[in-house]
Amino acid sequence: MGVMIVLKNITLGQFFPGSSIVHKMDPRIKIITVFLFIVLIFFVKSFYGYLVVAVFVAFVIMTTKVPIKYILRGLKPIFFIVIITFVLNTLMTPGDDPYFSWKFISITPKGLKQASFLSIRLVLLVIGSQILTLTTSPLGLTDGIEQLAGPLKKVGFPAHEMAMMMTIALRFIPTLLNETDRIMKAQISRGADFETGSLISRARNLVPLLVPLFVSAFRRADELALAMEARCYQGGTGRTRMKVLKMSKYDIYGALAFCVLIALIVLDYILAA
Amino acid sequence: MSIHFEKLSHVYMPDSPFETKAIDDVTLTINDYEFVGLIGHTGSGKTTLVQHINALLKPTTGKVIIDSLDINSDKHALKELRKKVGFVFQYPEHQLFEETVEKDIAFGPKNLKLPKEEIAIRVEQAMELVGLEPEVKLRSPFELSGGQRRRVALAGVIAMRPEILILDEPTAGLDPGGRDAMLLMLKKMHKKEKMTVIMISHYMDEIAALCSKVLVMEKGKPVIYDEPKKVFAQGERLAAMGLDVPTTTKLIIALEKKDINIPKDILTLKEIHSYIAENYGGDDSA
Ligand SMILES: Nc1ncnc2c1ncn2[C@@H]1O[C@H](COP(=O)(O)OP(=O)(O)OP(=O)(O)O)[C@@H](O)[C@H]1O
Ligand SMILES: [Mg+2]
Repeated sequence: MGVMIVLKNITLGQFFPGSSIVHKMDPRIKIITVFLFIVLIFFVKSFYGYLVVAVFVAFVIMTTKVPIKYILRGLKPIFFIVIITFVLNTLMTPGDDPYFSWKFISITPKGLKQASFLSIRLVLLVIGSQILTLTTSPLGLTDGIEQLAGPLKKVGFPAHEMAMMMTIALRFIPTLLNETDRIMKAQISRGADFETGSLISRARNLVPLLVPLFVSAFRRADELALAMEARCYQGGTGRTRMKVLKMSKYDIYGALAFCVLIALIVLDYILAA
Repeated sequence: MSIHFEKLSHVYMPDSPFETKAIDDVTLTINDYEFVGLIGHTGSGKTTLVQHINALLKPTTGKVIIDSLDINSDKHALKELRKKVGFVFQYPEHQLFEETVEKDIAFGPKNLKLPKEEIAIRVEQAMELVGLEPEVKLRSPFELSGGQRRRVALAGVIAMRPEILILDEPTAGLDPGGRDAMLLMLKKMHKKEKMTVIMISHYMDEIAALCSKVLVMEKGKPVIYDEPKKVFAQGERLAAMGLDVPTTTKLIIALEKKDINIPKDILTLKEIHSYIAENYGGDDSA
């Protein structure tokens, strides 16, 4: 039942509910922090710098109480990219005192250092953004993005509409997944086969799944539009929110901790220069 | 065909914060030709349990044995099994996809690789059994009414001639007329095709009217499996589980307050009527 297993493993935006300081931080602050964190990583110059960042990241993960398993799971998709980056950088960087060299391939201390830095950077980057998505509900994320993109409204960027679309899409992903699962099971029990056969026959076998799915998606869209209109939805202007994003002491804790990290990296940068 | 669950458990999304134990160590046998009503509060695991019967879900632990065959032991048995177990999902009309009613009903039999003539016969018989006029054959299922569409979906399952028929809330969302028609149809079908039927429902009146056995689920465990009379006589226990009793049982309780005592295991209006006539005098002509 290959496809069903895939469906089962999609967790929505991979949010891991909790009540840690990191969870309680304002999504806007978290988004900005992660953005700065990603920029910051590129300024780290020494192994000690990376050690500091790694310790900081480990500390944050511990505070969130998200099992390490989840973080590792998120690293799986980039595993190969990291390996390839490492191998290519090791072999292709020219330098002095090669440990080994053959034609244009050589392993040098400089190459090894560059390869490790790049790989560490990649891993930290992914972990950093993962901490954001693991500790922020999808709704919090879209709210945060909408507010941060607010100033862009002045130049005609439809921030509210984008956020509303994202929110609705997020809201309906589980619904449609459920629906897919149910229709699929219904057709399987009528003898449909979604797993074997040539590419063409497999594509044809998807018709009994796709037609009902589209029909239902359109029906839901219709109903939702009607319901929104019935409640006088007319876009973002003049709309107020029930839950206003508010900054709290937790944001100050988070920001302070991050400032310490910035200071240490700046120190590392100066020392390495 | 008999169905036997042995120490069956099912856990959704194991090792995640959303882990749910939907079925918890169920051991139970359902005999051949039984008409089982499956009731339980929402989320009690009814749908999860029945989806194990044709291996749409695999047990986390335990076994499902159908006619002495462990259905998860052998991949080849799966195809044979699915021929024999018909599954009518909740809101089955949402699964229709073909251009015409006829083609949609023929989808199942076609997958069984039956000859063309046989398929045509089966489609015709299935339509008759669910009460669809032959004229709708060539119409698109999407231009029929909700009740008609549900009949088409049901016919699509019936046309495969299953020996076990599972229905997940077959009357949900139907008007009273459509509901009665559906129930009558199921009753007829059960008699005629000699199937084992399992019907999930939240309407106790339906269960009381149709079923030979009632299975009550609570928090993933079967707590009662008995004849309807005996189950519905335990009104307080059911109420504690958030479940109702049939209207007739309610009538008996109401009459009790007026000092007319009728045994609680009576389930049909007719029986109540004759019991009153017998025991409290009065004339039977009313
Ligand atoms: N696909 C799924 N993924 C995760 N959890 C699920 C899934 N399907 C059901 N559950 C959970 O398993 C439990 C049992 O669900 P199930 O659908 O079997 O209940 P039910 O008795 O059929 O309820 P209802 O009367 O509402 O149809 C519930 O707690 C539900 O949240
Ligand atoms: Mg259910």
